[in-house]
Amino acid sequence: MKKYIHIIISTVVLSLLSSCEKYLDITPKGYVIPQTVEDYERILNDISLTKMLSDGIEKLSDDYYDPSLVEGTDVMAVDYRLYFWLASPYSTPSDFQYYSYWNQLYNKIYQYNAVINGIDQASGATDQRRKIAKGRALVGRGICYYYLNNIYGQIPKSSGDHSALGVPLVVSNKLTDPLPPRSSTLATFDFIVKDLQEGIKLIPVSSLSNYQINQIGAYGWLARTYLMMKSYEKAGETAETALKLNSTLLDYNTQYEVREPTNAPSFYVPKAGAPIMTPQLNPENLHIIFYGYTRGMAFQQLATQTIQAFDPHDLRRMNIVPTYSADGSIANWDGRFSYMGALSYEYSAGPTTAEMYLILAESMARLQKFSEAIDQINTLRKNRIAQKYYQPLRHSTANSTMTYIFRERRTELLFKSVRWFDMRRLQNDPEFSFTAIHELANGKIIKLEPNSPRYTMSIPDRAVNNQITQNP
Amino acid sequence: MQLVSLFLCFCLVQVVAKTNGQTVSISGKNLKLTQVFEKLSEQSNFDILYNSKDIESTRSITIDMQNVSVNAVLEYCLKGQPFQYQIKNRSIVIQSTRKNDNFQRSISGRVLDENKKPLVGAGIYIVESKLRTTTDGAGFFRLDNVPNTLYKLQVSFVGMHSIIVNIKSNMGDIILQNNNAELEEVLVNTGYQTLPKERSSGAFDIISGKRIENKIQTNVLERLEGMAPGLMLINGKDTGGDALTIRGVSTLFGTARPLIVVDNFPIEGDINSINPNDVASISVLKDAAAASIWGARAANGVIVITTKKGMAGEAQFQYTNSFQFEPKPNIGYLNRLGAADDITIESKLIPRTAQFEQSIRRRGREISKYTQFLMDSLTGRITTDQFRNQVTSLAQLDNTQQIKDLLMQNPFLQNHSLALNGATDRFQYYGSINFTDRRGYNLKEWNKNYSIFLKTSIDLTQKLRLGINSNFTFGNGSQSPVPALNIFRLKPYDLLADKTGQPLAMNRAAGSAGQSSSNVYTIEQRRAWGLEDESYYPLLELDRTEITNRNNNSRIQAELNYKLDAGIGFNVSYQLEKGNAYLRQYAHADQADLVKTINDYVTPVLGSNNEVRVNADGTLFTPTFNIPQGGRLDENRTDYDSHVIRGWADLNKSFGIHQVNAILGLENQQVQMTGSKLTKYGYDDNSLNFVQLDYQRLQEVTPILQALNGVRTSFPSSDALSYLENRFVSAFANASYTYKNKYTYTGSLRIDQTNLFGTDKKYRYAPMWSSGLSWNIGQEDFVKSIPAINELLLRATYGINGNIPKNSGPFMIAQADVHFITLLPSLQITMPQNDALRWEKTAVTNFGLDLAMYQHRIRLKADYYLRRSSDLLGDEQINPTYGFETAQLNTASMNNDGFEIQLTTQNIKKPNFGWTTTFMFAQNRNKITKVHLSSNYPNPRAIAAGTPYFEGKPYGALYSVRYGGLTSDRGQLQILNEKGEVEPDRLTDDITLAYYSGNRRPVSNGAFSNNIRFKNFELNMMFVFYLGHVMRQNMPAAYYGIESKDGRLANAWEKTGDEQYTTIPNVILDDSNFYTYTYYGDFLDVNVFNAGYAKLRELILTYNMPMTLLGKQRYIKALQINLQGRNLWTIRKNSEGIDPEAFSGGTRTLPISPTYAFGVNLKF
Repeated sequence: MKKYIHIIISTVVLSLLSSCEKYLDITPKGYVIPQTVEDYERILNDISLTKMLSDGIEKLSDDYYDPSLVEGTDVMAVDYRLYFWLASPYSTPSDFQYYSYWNQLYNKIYQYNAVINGIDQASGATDQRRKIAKGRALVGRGICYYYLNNIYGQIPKSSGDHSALGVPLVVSNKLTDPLPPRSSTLATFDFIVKDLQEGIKLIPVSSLSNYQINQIGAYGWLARTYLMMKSYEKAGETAETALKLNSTLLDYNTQYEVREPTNAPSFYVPKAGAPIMTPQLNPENLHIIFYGYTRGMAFQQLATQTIQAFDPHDLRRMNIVPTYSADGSIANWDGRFSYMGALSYEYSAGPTTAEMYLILAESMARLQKFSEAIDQINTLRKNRIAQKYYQPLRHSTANSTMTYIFRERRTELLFKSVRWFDMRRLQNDPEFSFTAIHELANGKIIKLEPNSPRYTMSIPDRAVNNQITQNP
Repeated sequence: MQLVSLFLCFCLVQVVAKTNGQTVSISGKNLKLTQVFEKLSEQSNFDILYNSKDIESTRSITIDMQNVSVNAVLEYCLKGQPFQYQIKNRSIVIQSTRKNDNFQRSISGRVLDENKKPLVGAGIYIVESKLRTTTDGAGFFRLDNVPNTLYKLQVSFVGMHSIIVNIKSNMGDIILQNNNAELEEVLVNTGYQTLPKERSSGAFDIISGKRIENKIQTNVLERLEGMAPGLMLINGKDTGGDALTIRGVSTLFGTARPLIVVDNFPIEGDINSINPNDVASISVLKDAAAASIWGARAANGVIVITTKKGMAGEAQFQYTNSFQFEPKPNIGYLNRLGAADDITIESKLIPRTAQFEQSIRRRGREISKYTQFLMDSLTGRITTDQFRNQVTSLAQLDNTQQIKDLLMQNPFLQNHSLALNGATDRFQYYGSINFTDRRGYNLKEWNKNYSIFLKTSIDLTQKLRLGINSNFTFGNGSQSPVPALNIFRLKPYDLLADKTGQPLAMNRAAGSAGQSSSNVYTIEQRRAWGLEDESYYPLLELDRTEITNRNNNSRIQAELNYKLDAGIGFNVSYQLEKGNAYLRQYAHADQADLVKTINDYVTPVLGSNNEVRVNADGTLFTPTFNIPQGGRLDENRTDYDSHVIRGWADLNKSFGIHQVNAILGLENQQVQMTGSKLTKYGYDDNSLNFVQLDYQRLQEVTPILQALNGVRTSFPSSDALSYLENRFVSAFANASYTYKNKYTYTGSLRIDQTNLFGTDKKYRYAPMWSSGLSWNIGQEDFVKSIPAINELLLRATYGINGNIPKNSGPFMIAQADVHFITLLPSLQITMPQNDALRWEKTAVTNFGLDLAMYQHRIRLKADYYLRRSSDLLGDEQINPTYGFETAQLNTASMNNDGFEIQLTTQNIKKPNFGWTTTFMFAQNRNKITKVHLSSNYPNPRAIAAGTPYFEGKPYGALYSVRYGGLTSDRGQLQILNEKGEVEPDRLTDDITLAYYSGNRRPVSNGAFSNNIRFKNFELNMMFVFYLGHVMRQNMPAAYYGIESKDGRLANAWEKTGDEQYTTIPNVILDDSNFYTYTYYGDFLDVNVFNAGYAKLRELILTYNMPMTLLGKQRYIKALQINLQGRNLWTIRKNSEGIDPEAFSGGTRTLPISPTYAFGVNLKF
């Protein structure tokens, strides 16, 4: 009996010791813990990844007019601080939860990183699907960093200025890994280009819907990135690549028509029988993203300058509707317009074919190919201006052609998260620098001078540490 | 795990193998008889039973026999010796031939106390004779020439219960039990080892089974109330969660309940599977040194329950029963507004407009009978006179008595338990069967519980012992489909039955959440459409729903101990626990809620103007039933099983003045739980047929009748599956060293690993440990010279215990959803990967003092402790650059400091009269020292309504809003801000509006007990008290509708000047201030009250039947009868007449009624 006991005890002890690691290495059920390729594909399907931004980015832009703000009141309100171009617009926890680009975009980066880091070890499915998922995640991450860098990255003083700080490039999913420091803005752009280019190689040209990123969409983002980097030649080449894959422009003449009442501005309505161009129906959308938590800029008013940029016969006026204020029982036009993006609450802020034409045009103009540049503009305008009033533009001076291009960008890309970045890009341009303004209802003007540090947003206090330093 | 089961089986096979084979071969020189028997037993299939004491003096034998029968060997060996043998079944009984020689015999034996220490000078009397003797210095006694006609022996000793036992020649060890509860607490069981109290340094309380024996709670933990200082059972009820705590709560999101260990293993199943009558003792381990052997699960303290085991001697039976009676609860305590007042208030609130009537009809809004009359009167369906008469008669009605008579029953609890115990030389057994029958106060509310427990221990050899325990519990029960309280909360004038006893329908809120409303008008309309009647008749509903539950628990333990002579032992033990629970709710086809659900989902055919098309007789034109007509079955099943295996070595040795006690071992545990929930419609209980629902289609069914009422909700599906698996691997060591019986050092170390989390190496092997010192000053010569002091012990310990937070892991956890445009399934990661998660830690410092004076007549036990909990898991803010604003991190901290005192005095100690008093007091001050959760509280309402965690405030802090009086013009409620200014009563994020107004959890608790013994009577009286906490009453709300109102509304503001003496606002709300009421009304400091109270929890009168009264019969050995009353008297600190035990969620709950019980305890 004695020897059995020794055997029993020693075997028990040994088995307890040896199997310990394996014994504990089980994955709990009931939670979803991403493990398979399909799980990772599902992460990429998440609706919140298409809600990229809050509309605050447009409230910074000079396209926006807010008559409700009164100087000196409610200074801690987000809308107020954005409109007055004050530092640190966000203060309360819910501000950060709902509006802060930093918090939101890094959360999306976390999701994309999860795919990028996990997909290679994931089980199931084919290598093909694995590659596509990884590619989509890389492009997605690139897009997030594109926004982060353009919002929080300091503006380089020259093309070689590495002292301008970009954003921390987080690539890990572990809370135990230390956070990286801020890289330079230029390095951040390089990182974005690398993500986009790597991703493009892995993903298919087109996809089931433009909610899912495909090559065409990715080229759109790459073209946007090069433009922000002021790499005009590459921007043009990329836009051209995108246009080779999809150059569809929607002729607004087939979509909308003008009504011209006597006592009010003319307005535009969808033509009978024409479908309302929801983002998924619109063939111009290369990749669809939305403003999250808000209805984008629907019902928001436009700055005077912006309204003036619209040709009277521009069918894009469809998107801007006169605002009426009620005086007693009679409603009167107050002389202003608000935005009703394609009558839809949810309009895409992603790249479109039209934007590709604009990038191509700007790229050509920057490379002194003015007449080709004008041709691109005209291709777009022909589809936008009421047919009977359409006149092609002609090149006369470099300056006038550039002005055409910029004006076209403002009208075509209104409230598509482009203008604030254009302002950042152009405010200190040797030729086109300007002082941005916001009007107040009482006629007062708020100014944003060139090279103002307010062109770069404050990083949320809670994100600031020894290495992630606050912007001035 | 399987491997180990296999080993255990293997051992059992070995045991059996010992008795295989018919012929034997034995040889040897000068063998002792015992050696021969051992060999014989090894080779044959017989057990040989003999009295080793008798056989000791026999001469040795030389033997050489090959392949002979057992009989031959026995014959040879016993030849010439004073023994004979007998073969019975498979046993050989060796008997001394001496004893049957004549009519007189000698008896001998030994008298021991419960700790197997000999009792010197114990009195031995042969009942009904003058024969008597006393035990010698080693506890032995011998009486010669005892006539065979006498068969009862009484053994008595001062301070012990005398017992009467049947005479046999060798009485073996007779064990007397201490009759002084305090003196018997000498051994502490940590679940891993049993140690004499003097050799442990930790803080623990030991409660002997005897002290809780006469109580009547069926949950053994509830019997501990007032028995161990520092243990707090809120309201004396074990309702799970943080209701039961030891030394306060030391976690935010982890489990706050102490670890419950039964017979050395933690139990996962229901505590009700433990029959309290089977409990031998309970050790409550409170500090690190006592509990740290349980490592990562010991931070909340450990309650170690040890069950009884077989006691030496013949089989002894014990039958215990108790009957507990309780009156129907006094529902009047709920303070409901009477019918007349209710009508007066409602008449002020109902909008008297045509739109209101239309909206009621269209939306099916529930209305009271009064409202119905009012609408009838306003629209001219009845005359003003008719209306007045109807209201007058309504105002005189009260359904209280009907509710008591027709929906309630007298609660009742009875318990029967039959236990058997005994032991032979090598086999100990204890078994019990237990039956509990409980009936609640609602009709149809009952449950029955059966349990069987068997505990055996076999000495396989002198060194090897096998113990096997098994426990099976089966329970079933039923719940009331019509809880009386729910009906009482409806209008007081709604009767259950008319004068002739015909059931009446009541106005009530229809069905479960998600259903549209209904009222008399919509019910009438649907009946006119030819649909089933949805009216709610409480008396009929009683038979329309069956709610039943079943549960089974089984627990099997096996343990092998192998002892070496050197004081070293090896042990392997294994526990398997399995259980399941099943809850079934069967709604008959005519159940009002079900009928309504079915009707709601009827699709009518619509006419050209969207009107419902009907036939000529008013019934619906070809309606579609989207939910099948028939019954509904809801089932909820859960299963769990748990395996634990443990192997350890122990050392227990004395070297002169040194004493060492140590254990070292390993343990594996696995717990698995699965569950499923399903609902079936169109169910028929006979054929078990049901109709499969298409849930997807039901979401799209339109139009449906409920949409016509203005509300359309999605069809709920409660089907769900659950799964949980936890694994642990632990290594542990524990040692104590005592020098000269005076100085003891104890230390322990434990490492726990689990699959739950923790992949960061830094935290993986972080041990839990403890260290402690005790100084038995009482053994020092300078104290020994003071005769007044019998015992004086100082203890100091420090150590770290852990707690397991669940729901977190080193994984990314994602939530599933569907993209609403692309309709693709999607996932979003909601919990980041956190490898740094680790055990919550609690460092405990404890100082203790044990003192006994004046022949142990005064005993004091005092402990002071500091518990520092850190690494508590909380939703903490992190750098958002990680991608998340908060994460579950181990960063919160909490302190629990307090002291405990237990003072016992024997005021009178005479043979026939004794009086003992015990006073217990424990105080626990809790403070959260670090937490970052501010983002969870966006507004003062959330703080006041929730259980917020704030730095510097205790766990369980209650936050309230300042009451600012009533406005004198309209009697509207006002609130104040921090500065005392009137604040607009609206939603704001100014969280300073809510302020700390006290602790919801009692800060101090304790008990005051008296035990008075007079001759054969014993009276126990226990007061419990809970102090230092607050509660808050909701402000009574006045809405029109179907619910009854709070009685305090009778004092509501009515006219200017009333604000001087009432705090209850005008029932008519100022529209502009509408939110005053609903927003902060329930959170006002004016309604906070001191919740301290004391209760006469139990009064037990016991009568021990004297043996002389039981006559000459030889069967009954002891008979005890007891009477008891519980909750007989309450002293409360609040002036509102609220019993804090009958109050929760801001309102009164059913009162705790005094209960009376009668019990019998019979030993035979």
